[in-house]
Amino acid sequence: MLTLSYRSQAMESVRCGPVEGFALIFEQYYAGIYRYLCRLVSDADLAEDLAQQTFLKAYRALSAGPQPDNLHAWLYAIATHTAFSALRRRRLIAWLPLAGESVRHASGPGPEARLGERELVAQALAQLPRRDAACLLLHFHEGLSCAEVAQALGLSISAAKSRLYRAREAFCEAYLRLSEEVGP
Amino acid sequence: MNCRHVRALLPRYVDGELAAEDMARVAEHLAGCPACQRRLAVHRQMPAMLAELPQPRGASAGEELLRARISTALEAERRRQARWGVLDRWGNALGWAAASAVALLLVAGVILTGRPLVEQRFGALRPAARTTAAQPVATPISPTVRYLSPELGFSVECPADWTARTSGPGVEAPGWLRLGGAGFASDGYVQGDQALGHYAIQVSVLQVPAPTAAEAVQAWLAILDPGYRQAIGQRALTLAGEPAVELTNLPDRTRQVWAVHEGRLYKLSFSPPQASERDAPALAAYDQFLQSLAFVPITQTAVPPTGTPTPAPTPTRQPGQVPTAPAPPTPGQPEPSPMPVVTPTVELPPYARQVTSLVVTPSDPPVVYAVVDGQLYRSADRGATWAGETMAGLPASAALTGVAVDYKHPETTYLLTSEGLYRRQGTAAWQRISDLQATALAVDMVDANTLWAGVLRKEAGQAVVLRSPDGGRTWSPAGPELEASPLGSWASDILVNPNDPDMLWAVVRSNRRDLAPDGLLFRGDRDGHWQRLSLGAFDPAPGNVDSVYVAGIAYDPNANLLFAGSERSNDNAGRILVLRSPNADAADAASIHWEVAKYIALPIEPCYAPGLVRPLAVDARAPRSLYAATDIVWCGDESPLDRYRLLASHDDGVNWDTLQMAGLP
Repeated sequence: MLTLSYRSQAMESVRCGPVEGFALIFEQYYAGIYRYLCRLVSDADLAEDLAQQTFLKAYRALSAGPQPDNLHAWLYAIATHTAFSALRRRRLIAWLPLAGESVRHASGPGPEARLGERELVAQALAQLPRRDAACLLLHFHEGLSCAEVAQALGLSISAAKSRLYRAREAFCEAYLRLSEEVGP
Repeated sequence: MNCRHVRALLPRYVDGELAAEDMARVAEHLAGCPACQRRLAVHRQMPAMLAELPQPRGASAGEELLRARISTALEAERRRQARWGVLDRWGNALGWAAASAVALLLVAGVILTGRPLVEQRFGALRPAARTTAAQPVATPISPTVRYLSPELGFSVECPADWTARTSGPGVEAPGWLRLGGAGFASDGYVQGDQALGHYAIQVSVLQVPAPTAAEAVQAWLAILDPGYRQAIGQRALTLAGEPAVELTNLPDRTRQVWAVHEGRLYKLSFSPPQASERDAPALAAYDQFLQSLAFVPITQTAVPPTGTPTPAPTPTRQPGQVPTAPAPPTPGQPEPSPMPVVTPTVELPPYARQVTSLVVTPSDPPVVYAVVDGQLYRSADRGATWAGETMAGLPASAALTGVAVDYKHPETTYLLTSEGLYRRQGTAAWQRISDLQATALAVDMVDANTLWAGVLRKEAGQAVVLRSPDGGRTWSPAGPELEASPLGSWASDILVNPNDPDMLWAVVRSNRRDLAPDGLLFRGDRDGHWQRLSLGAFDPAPGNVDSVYVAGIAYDPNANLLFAGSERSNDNAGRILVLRSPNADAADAASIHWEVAKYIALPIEPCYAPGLVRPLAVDARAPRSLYAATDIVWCGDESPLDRYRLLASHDDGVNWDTLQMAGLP
């Protein structure tokens, strides 16, 4: 699996303290981290800022502190924490994505009002608490194991498993509700 | 087993993690329940659904540009750490050169044009006078061009390079842009938007559309990046019809509109137009947005406490205006040497991290020494012109971190270097007196053999201020006690109060702000007893936009003013200011109060590179001069505009002039 080879390569670079150490890590992870943040905050511009913060934090931490055991989960932990902090700060002017508004304003079940399947998924995800959304994204989209999700979210493994189950159920609920609102 | 039970178990059922008995019971229920079957189908499809999530708007276009942007920011961080000598595991071997090259290739070009976006609404831009002629000597400050929109009374000022380099590969925007107009102070520049360096940009003067005008809402609002504006609240505000400047990135990118309303700068961001059926919610969102803008005050004046002698309020300077001349010398005193010629450009985003130290000797006329980029420079004309100082006696490998002078014996100068502590008398060669790698040094006012030195803490519990009783040969811990004991703290400044030699001030910095408080101000005595001084309303705290992480201090013994500068942080979001205290020597530390002398920089644009203002020294002669260094490195843009500035204030920190710095790197 490509991801695994990336991970092992990056970890090797950490161990060696090598030439191009952080550059390699960055090259291997920036796209994934950015896409994860995009989906977590539903905003490409904000995600860009968050991705930059994430890698600056990682760089500073790796420059000055001990190396993480699991670089992959550690980077996602920084990204998640950075995103949650930003979302807390912006809560005063945060609103649902406009696409979400249009669902409620859609008049009638005309085909033009129907949302595509993928948009429906995105909206269902957007309706979840962010921690639940992070859980699902990390596990299903970024391919993190339960143990890695636990590390990224600062939970015990059992707590991460429970949250993942709850998040899956909540997503299912939201998805079915949106499907019914939009109509057949 | 009913539906509720089954639904709770479905994820485990899909994973096959239920006991055999429960698996069978769930299967049995599913066989007869279409609703739960639908849920089961969703659970089974969930991995594929989530794996194929669509990218948010603009994400795919931005990925490569983002890569270049982060690479640049990381390179800036690496350089910053290298400058500070932060332990840098990667620094010597980072492969950012390649990434930076990609960044350059990705620069699509800069299009600076007055072409209106919508003819009937936007005024034309036309070039106004260049400001180059006013600069008497070559300086690092680029000439600028102003564009005016006569009908709107609004202007855009930008480096002249922008007109010459209209587009094409390799064009880098300098990262700042000054907006002007009625009620708009000259220091209200837009700066530091990394996007300016990496996207094609179109600058237009326009009027903010009325929120109810149908055509004005073709673009619904995506986000006002609020992450770095913590003083945000719901504000009843209508900008409709007011002039603004629009920066347009690539066509499918978010647009930014900068508008001035009652002296404040507002940033609006819009996404591209939406389909017509979404206009109604777009209208609502846009209207909501206009009511909930973040704001950045453009003009600030110090508000001293009642009963304190106050300086004149900050005059608003127009672009190109020469700063106020210093006050004439007091009768009876010798004529001071001519003040340095200052450039007419005010408060460009400066940088000072390269200026690590500056002292003014008590001799007459004074000699000013500065350590810049690890080298020692000397100025005999109060900072106007500089020349490299002799390094005789120093090993070639020595990197300088600071310079200090014995104010009672001004012929004695100390150099703080990576190879140890050096001293010289007059212009003799430097002599090594210790292998101490000091980060700050002060000479006692009573006993010239007593020295205080700041050091970087390399072991837990180690003091960051040391004291030497024998002219620097031996050292012992002298505090202060820190709340936490992480590695990476250091004393960046130590001052002895000339009015009370038993009183010292020190600043303790931390390069791990996540682990240790940074920018702490302490006051101590010659016996090594220290106490932390509160900055009152300026103490760093989440949500306090005036949080001051003290980045440097300087003391004016005649005015009895202690000045403190600040550094950018997540708390202050780049609101960088100079504080002053008129009673920092008060017996009761709790009675010490602080006031804003000047807002040097304001959080106009989010950027993660550091910015600071660092008071360095005071020349107490008339006209009094407070020297400071400032820097704001914007997201890796290290154009000459953004390097550093030496500033001087002759009115207790209210107005600042940029020194010419001829002869400095």
